[in-house]
Parts: sequence; C-alpha cells; structure tokens
Amino acid sequence: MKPKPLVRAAQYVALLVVVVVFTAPTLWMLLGVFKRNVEHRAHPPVLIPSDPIGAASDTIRFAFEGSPVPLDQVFVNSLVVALGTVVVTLLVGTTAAYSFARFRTGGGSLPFFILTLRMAPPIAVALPFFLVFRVLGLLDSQLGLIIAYTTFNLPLVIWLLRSFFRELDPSMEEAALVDGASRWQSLRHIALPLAIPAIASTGLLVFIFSWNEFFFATLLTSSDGRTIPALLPLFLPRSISAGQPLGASFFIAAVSAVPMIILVLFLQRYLIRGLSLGAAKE
Amino acid sequence: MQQAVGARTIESRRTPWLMVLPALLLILAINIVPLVYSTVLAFFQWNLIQAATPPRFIGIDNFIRLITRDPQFISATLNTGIMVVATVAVQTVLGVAVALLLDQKLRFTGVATTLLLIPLALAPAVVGLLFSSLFNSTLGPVNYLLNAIGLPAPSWLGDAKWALASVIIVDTWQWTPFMILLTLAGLRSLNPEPIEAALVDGASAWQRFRYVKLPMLLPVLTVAMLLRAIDSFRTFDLVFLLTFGGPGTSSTTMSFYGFKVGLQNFDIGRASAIAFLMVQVFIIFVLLFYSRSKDQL
Repeated sequence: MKPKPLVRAAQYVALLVVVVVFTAPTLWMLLGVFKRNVEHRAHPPVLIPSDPIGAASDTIRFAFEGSPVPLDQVFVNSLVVALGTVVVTLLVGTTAAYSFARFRTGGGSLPFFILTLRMAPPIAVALPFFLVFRVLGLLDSQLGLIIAYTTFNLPLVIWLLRSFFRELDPSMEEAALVDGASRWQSLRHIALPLAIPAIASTGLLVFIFSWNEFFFATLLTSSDGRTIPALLPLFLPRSISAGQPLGASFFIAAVSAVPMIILVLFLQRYLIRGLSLGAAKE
Repeated sequence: MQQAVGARTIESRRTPWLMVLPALLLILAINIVPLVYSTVLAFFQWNLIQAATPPRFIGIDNFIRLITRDPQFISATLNTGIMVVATVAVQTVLGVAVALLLDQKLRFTGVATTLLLIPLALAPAVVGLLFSSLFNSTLGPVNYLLNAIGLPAPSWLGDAKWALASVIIVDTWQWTPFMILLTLAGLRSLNPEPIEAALVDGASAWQRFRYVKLPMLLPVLTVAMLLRAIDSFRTFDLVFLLTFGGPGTSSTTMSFYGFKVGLQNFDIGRASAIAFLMVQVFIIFVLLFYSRSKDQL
C-alpha cells in the first residue's frame, strides 16, 4: 500500500523541517566565527560573511589574547581531564563490570545501586568536594576534576561494560577454567580481547561526557584549571567589552563542539545505547 | 595436591570480590563519603564568609527556613517541577512523532538520523551559549523570523514570562533527538507480525500506532522518560548560560539555587539542605526507574 503523492510530499517537507531545525543552530555557531560585529548585529541575519578570513583571524586572535587563562592551557586542561577520567574509569571499571556480569558479585542490586550514582544530583557531592579540595589544595587542578568526573563516569562504565560482558558467550571462558586457567587469566586472555570494541566505545563516551562537563568545572576551578565549557561564560556578549569580536564565543564553542561531533559520528548508535544506559540495544 | 586444590578454591572464591574491590573503594571514597558529609552538613549552620564562626548543629532549622521563609527556594522548586513535566512531555511527544516519520520508507532518513546525533554531541554549555545568541531579542535570528511571518517576538531571555520557557525550549532542542533515536531503534526492533496482522484486519495508520506499536514501545519509552526526568530535574548548565536564573528568580532551578546559596553566598548549611531535599526527590525517581527498568536493562 503506497501512500498518496500528496502525503509523501508532506512527509518530505516534515523531514526537511526536522533536519533544518536540528542542524541550523550548529551551523549558526560555525558561521559566527566568520562574521564581523556589524554582521552579528545585522538584520536580516547575515548568512554569507563578507570577509570570512579576516573576521575569523581577528576573532581567533581576540579569543587567544582576551582569554583570562591562556587558551592553549584551557585546551590542555580539557584534554588531560577527559583522558585522565577515561583511564581511571576503564582501569577500575572493567574488572568490576566483568565480575558483576560473570559471578553476579554482590547480587543483582549492587550494580544497580552503583548505576544510580551516575544520575544523582551533582550538587550533593559538589559541595563536599569544594570544601575538601579547598583544604587539600585540589581546587583549580586537573586532578580535582578527574576525581569529580570519576564519580559519575565510573558507574556508567561499570554498568555498560557489565551489560556487554553479559552478552558475551561464556563457554570459552568456562572451557579455559576447566583447563586450569585462573579467572584473571580467562578475563585477560579471552574476555578482554573480545571486549576491546565495547571498551573503546565506552571510553569515547566517557571522554565526551568529561569534555562537555560544566557544573563541576565551574564550581571547582577558577583560573588555571578551567576547561573549555567553563571558559564559555567569560566570552558571552555581556561579559566582553564593547567593540571586541562577538565571534569569540562562537570560536570557543566550536573548539569545544567540533571534536565531539566527529566522535559522535564514529559512535553512532552506541551513543544512544550509552545515553539510555542500555535500554536501546544496538 | 589436596592442599593445592583447596588453595585454588579459596583463590577463585575471592577473585570476584578482588575484581570489584578497587571500584568499590573508589566509589566509597568519592561518592558515598561526600554524600554522607553533605547530608550531615544539612543539619548545621555554617557560612564560609564568617570564617571565625565554626559550624554549629541546628537540627532541622535549615529545612524549616527553606520551606517557610525562603520564597526563592519555593520558586526554584516550582520552576524545577515545571521544567521536568514540560521537557518530558514535549520531548516524548515530539520524539515519537519524528521517529514515526523516520520509520516511513522515505529517502534521506539515514542522513537525517545521523544529523540528529549532533545536538547530543554538544556540551549543554555550548547549547546555552548558542541559543543566547539565537534568542537575542533584537539581534537574534529567531525573532527576525517571527517578525518576518508576522508573529509576536517576545524578549525570550529577558522577560520573566518567557525565561523558563526558553530554557525548556532549548533543552527540548538538545534532547528530542535522544527520544527520536531511541524510539526509532525501538520501532525497528518490534515484532512485525502483530503490525501486519492489524494491517490485514484493516486498521488505519493511527490505529496501528495507538493499539499495536505504542503498547509494545511503552516499556522502553518509560525508561527513556524517567531518564529524561532525572536529567531535567538537575538542570544547571543551560540556566547558567541562558538566563543566570533571571529575571528575578523566574528561571532559577533547584540546582542553580543550590549553587547560588552554596558557592556565591557560601551558606554551606542551607545549600546542603537543598542538596539533601534534591537527593530525596531523586531517590523517588530512582525507585520508579528501578521498578520500570528491571526488565529493560
């Protein structure tokens, strides 16, 4: 039963609207890097900048010179904190996930209890962190943020990898155990190699969530330790002095966003699986 | 030999716990201890600005003051409630509708599905920044378009009537793709037989959706809605960048108010009390989530 041509046409129009609505704001961000201030203020909105190269180079120069913390340092902070969180959570989380999946360690409710920590309101741990970090000198440090990001990413890693290990056929590992291998050996030599893709995807998710994190970054850093998202408010039009390039905020936003967009295109459906905590199977 | 086997059994009985031990210790140190600390602080009066005054136990005074003498807290609670209900409702309806569209045999749906991932890749802070430009009342393209088609163009972020609505709209922009893609995955994994049977029996497209597909989708949709509710309940980033809670407290959420009290006024006790109340609500969400998701996850 084929739909009427009119219905089909309406469906295509709706599809076009959906695509435009959900992509235009991102394009607006990229476009903003290439516009002069008059073009930012122009009516109708400027869609083809007159001097894209010149405007972009002024914008980028101001972003570097006007940043209260050197921009390259902010970028490095974001990178170190995100990678550090990935390493810590995968290192600690993989064996735990394996144990929960294969041996039902702690019964069925312990993994679920851990999962809930992923979703808890961050303010409940952020205040204690602020107080303790103040004393320990961890405010404004990369290590402090890695600790904070581990609180919500470790539960996610354990949960996602547990569901992955459960889908893995255990017969090879059982055979290895019968042949005298230890549980560590069967994890190391049989399960782990098969889990590499899932571990890599989970690591990418953790990287994205850490890179994008704003709440802890705003609360626990003030200058040297700032990450890219926490720098954004300082480049809002209301925060910069008149005459400075308005495109600077779009540039910082793009530096934050473009690498993540590329990663997400790699992850594809695994992103939805991760965001839904496994409710959407691939 | 006997001994060796005995040692091995003990070793293998211990191994599963050894494998989870580092994770459990870490979680204890960085999740549980801070949560307990925060809970204890909720019953103390402690302001960091008065550095000389040490924390003082005051029982449930922080809570009494929040509920009876703090209109800003009441307003933040109401705003958060509106935010949760509105975002979940709107995003679910839109998400299912667009998923049904993408499930038609149209061309370009593959490309569209991929493009829908982009909003999910962005930091909420980036999204907030983007929309503070798009929603600018005089210079923004949104109001330009509204004017062009003759609709009223409100001062989105600067008008107390619209500020919270703006936050909801922006959250909807970012998270509807999640509902779309999740529903689409659900639709594509449905058992086709009941749908075909309904088709043979002459059910209309709406009837096939309402009485066949929707009931089958409901379990996964419920999990997704609860996840969205939990996430929406703690909204902070968007508020910070779009409206900073204003004008007045018109778009202040509980998370944002807790931040203001705790880290701008440094009233640690009262902020911890807000966090405590948020955790209690969160526990209700989690219990719902657990009962709904046991078979899904």
